[in-house]
Amino acid sequence: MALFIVLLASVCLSGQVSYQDLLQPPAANWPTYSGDLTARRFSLLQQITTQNVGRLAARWVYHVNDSKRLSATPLVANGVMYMTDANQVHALDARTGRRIWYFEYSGSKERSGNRGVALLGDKVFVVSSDAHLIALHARTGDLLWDQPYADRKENPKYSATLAPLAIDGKVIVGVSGGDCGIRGYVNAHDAETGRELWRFYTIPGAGEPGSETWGGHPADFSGGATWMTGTYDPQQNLLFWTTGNPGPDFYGGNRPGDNLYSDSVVALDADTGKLRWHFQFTPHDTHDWDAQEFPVLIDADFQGKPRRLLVQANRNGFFYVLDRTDGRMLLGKAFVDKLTWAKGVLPDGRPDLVPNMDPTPEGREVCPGVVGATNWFSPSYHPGSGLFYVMSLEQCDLYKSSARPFNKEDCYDGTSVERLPTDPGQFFLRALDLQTGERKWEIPLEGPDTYLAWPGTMATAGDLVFFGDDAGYLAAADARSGKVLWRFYTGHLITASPMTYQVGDTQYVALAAGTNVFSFALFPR
Amino acid sequence: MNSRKQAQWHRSTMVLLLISGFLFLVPSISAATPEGEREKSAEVKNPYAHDKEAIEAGEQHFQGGCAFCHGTRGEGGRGPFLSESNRVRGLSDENLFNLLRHGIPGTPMPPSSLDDTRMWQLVSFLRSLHFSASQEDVPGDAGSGHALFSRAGCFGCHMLKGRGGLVEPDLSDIGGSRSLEKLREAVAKPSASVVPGFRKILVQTRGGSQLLGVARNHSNYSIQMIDLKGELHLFLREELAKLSYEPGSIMPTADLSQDEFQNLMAFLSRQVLSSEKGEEKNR
Repeated sequence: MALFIVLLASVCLSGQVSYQDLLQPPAANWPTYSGDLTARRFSLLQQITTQNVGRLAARWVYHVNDSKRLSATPLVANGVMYMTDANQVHALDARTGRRIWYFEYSGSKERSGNRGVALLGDKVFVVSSDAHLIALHARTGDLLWDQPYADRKENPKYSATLAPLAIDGKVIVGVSGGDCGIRGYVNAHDAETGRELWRFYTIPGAGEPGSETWGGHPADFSGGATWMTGTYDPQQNLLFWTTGNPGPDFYGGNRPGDNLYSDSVVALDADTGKLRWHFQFTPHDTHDWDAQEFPVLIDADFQGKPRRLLVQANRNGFFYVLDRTDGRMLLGKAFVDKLTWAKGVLPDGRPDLVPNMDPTPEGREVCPGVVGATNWFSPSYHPGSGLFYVMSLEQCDLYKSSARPFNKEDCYDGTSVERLPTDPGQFFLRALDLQTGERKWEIPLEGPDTYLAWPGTMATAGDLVFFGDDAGYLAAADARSGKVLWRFYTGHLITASPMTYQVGDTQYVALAAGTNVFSFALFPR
Repeated sequence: MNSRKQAQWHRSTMVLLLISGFLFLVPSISAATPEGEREKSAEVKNPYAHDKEAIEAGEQHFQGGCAFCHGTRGEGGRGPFLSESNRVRGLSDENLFNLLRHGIPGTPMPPSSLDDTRMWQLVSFLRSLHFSASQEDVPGDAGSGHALFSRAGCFGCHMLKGRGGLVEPDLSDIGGSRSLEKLREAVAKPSASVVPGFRKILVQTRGGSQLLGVARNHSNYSIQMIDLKGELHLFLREELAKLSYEPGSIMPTADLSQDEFQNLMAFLSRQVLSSEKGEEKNR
């Protein structure tokens, strides 16, 4: 025990998160939203395995006062967990769930959700609802700097919800508000001072390359929000950031063309913010299919060659494998059965469109529905099984649309979507073969909260995939067979993704559910 | 938002909002609508706000019915402290009035039968507890106070606008969040009241090393502390050979002249965080 104390003390003394720790996280830590910079959401921890997961039991629960619904992934570094809700950060003792410090940002009364922090050095980075990037001291929560990064005087529709991404000396953030008439962008800030280093607009300005794909629609309220965390490839020094739908979402009549770079992944030089390449999943989207699902970076043999891949299961219903060195598509295959808007993906990456699938004033039934075949909740990838785990939704909706002028006082959405009474929709946890996109197994979910739950996944070297569901359960399945081996009812709606960490000699699994953070470990020890 | 649109709102827009990356933005959107504006203007305001006589009358009511639990100046006791509570500060006049009127079900906070006039006087008094040091005209030379703050080594323990130590509270907003009275007390008699989360603690590990610092949190089973070097330690109680809570504050009593004290007050009372300022900086 004495030795353990000494070790613990030394951990505390060097309790910083270096850039190297982000590139190759120590297995005990979960230092980014997705666990590392690739968003594979795969942990090397293997104390909890398919053999013993049945003994997993709740170790502690932390309640977040005033919360409505947590959507963050907690981060853990050196025994400290960092959890967020809108405009607040909670630092917890990750072994006990006891609070160490609490920070509340008083500059905004808005209650938009928040998905978590980023860590680098001795700093914790978080965005506020009114799009400030804030740096706190990791040990105390003391405010180090507060940098607004959206001009809300000019356009108060800008907001922010994402977990920032920290890389070498920089913090990268994006903006929300895409359906209310904003122009999306990715911002890079100096991690020491908060100073803005560069900005990349996802909607080109008049005369810039790509602006010809809008038919003259003004960039300032064309959407293309950047509301989820991106990924980073240090070898190429490239950031991969996904973009939201064009506005207005269900009406495309006043924005003829592909509407670049909406519904895309953009590859940006991390030093300059310059666009290296882009891939647009849904050109001229009229169904609100943001591309905000994670652009997962996987290095693997693919089609007979070792490759650097970018993999995404998109809201539009297709599973894409891209070569991330140039954005070329290598595979595009449907991962849901309810898919009516396109027959497939053409070799150049464009959808093979079915005619007459745009929304109409009377309504048109289209699949996937507006939630999408999946959404922002995290997928995961297990390099051992070669399987990509994605929470998939089989659902169609009635999309209604009519022309809508831009009005500065109002949101810029294009009418409405109605649920089909005959189609309540169903979630499935699906394991896709990276090589082919084929379904290797699936777990049908029977819960009642299909339209409200946003449950994500996490894979571990213990050959497990953990996932939330639409009935409030956190469950663990055999990553290779899909057999459910353990479950725990949280009593809450789940709108977040699980993670895992280790303190001392114990592996924990944690999830935010409803207004609480739950942490689990094997029992008895 | 016309009526047709509004009807659709309930059926579908909630879902769209959820999907579109600003989960739970509903309040901000409604605030931007004409309906939201109307709600705002309809809010009931305290007719006796800032009225000196009403504040004095309200204090009488407070002493009669509230001080038993909340302390004579709202410093807390059986009930929560009120004098610097952001939660109380954040309530609108109307919400504060209603809270006093109806009490808080499920807690010892009872409803009140005071008539409306007396109730508003009570609201006026509660608001008066929240006058922060920055709202007062504090004499003294803030520049000299700043120099003294540096010279006396205060930065060793206190963070101020991103610079300083980790042992004692961040002072970046101390002028905006404390009353002048509390600020004076904190410097003149640091041990008179210790800020929650900064209780002085001495521990001895089973390995034999001793650590003095502040307990950011504690329970029967674990301690989360910052030592005097600003290092964070997370202990289970069974990992400790000894633990004791020490009286008073880590902060020493400063031997200051009257001028020095006043200059320090002038400096500290001006330490305010303003998000508005941040907006101005923005391009």
